[in-house]
Amino acid sequence: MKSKDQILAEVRDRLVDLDSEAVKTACREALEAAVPPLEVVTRGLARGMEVVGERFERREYFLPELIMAGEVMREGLGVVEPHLTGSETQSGPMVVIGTVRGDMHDIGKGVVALLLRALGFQVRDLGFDVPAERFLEAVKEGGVRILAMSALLTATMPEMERVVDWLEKEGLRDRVKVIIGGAPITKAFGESIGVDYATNDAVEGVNVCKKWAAE
Amino acid sequence: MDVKERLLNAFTKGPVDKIPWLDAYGMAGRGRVEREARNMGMGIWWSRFLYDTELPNVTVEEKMKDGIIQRTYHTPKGSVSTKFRMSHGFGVSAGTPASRWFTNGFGPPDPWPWIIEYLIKEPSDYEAVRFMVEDAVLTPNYESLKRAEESLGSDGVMLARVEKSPIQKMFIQLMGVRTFALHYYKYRDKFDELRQAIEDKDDEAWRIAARSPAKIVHLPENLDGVVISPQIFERYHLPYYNKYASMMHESGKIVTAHMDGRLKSLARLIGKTDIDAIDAFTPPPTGDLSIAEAKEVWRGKFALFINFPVSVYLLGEKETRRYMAELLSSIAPGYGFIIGMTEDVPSHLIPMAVRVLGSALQDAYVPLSSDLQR
Repeated sequence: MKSKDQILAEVRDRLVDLDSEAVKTACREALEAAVPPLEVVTRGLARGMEVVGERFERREYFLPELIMAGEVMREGLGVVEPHLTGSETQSGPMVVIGTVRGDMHDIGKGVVALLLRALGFQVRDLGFDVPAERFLEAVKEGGVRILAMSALLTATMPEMERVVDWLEKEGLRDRVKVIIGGAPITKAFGESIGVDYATNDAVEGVNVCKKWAAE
Repeated sequence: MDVKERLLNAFTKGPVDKIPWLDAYGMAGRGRVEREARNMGMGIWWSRFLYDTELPNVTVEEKMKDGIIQRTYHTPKGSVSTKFRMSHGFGVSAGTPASRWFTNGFGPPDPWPWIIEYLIKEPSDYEAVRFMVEDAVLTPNYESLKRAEESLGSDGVMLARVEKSPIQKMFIQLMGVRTFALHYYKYRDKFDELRQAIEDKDDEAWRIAARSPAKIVHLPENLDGVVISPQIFERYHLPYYNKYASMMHESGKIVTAHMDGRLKSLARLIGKTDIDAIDAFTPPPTGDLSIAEAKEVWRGKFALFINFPVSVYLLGEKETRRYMAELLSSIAPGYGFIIGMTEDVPSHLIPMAVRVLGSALQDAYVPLSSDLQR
């Protein structure tokens, strides 16, 4: 008979293999073996996504693998979720994320949102071409711990500064951590506009959010 | 040596008197800034398609609401639709799969069509899209290129434009990266059939290019090594590039491919291609492959048209000048290199960008010194 650790490792590893049928089977077997559903999610599926993220960071996996892993996780969750209690489905800290106005490149932003969701964050994805006002409104609505903005076009990067300025003017800056990302983003640019973190690496950004969530 | 000769020689790694530079997509516009840049030796690059396209058995219906254009293609194999809207900055045209995707004259600062909903959303969409690809009739038209070349004279270079290679077209123009990823894993048969149909149609376009008066053929790839894995590149891109580079070489032409993304993970495999030049090569901090690394892995195999990373301009003129000096030092002695702008530059920074590039490059005589104190 398999131990709980072995059963959860099976869930994790099949997700890393990007095998959705095998993940669903492993999740069902875990539930049948009376593994707590929340552990199937956190120590099986979410841990698998972490491994996928690590491989992505090491350029052993690429965007198609990351996206497919998100799909496999979603299918695994479909098996486990009906068994979670109400309190267990409550998610972690809320992140508002979007690509700034004028920019419709949202691949990197999608990757970050995918990984954050897999790690249990509540993610409110505002999409692309998001005006500063919408970021501000989202923060005003409350409950937001992290504001994440992305840009690929250098010409749209000043929009990030506008959002930060507005947060300051509205007295909201201290309520949220602000992180920016995108291929042209540099630490120097981030410092110059007063954000808490700037990166051009999706996994690095997710790791920073994890650190903030743990504070 | 005039601008055209300098650029052509750089693209073929021949002798040049100084490093050529280009404003690839007209960021400097027309007027004082551009005139001053041209006076400092800046060249022009124009590209033209060499064929007209028709889809004789497809009807197109277009609706517009709230600034969003919905275009539906009706084919005997079913209907597919795409949505796009006009916006500023570089976007992705919502043309037909085997047609001319870009309209000359579009591009920053003009509005550009951005796809917000792709043609292929479901596996059931493949058949209609494949029909559109196979239905496309390409009719050679060399007049546009000839007229443009006459008009351009010795002020720059003309390029013949072909389509993105099938995989790049599928993920950028037909399905978006999410559907691309899921269908690559879940519906490989349909995915591969469409890819092959596009390549078969591309074959006609490349043969038209081979018979054209163009000296340089431009493959507008937008390759990025975060999206495209080495496995995908080796399976699909590499044989495609080599097949058509070989065809162009037999016709006395060279091929330049637009690879503006992060290339480190693909560098070794790119080195196996028979293309002649890489344009829009973007070094750090935006790209992830430095000039030194590119030189080491490719050993001068390709002419490199280097995009000056725009994020550097945002750090001010002093830092831009420092980066420029370092860049020139890193490409020394400088044969087979072109420097320029190939991405969006915030409009308020264009005069500074042109000033820094122009003042450094108008006197960048080769062989360059690798001494940073130039």
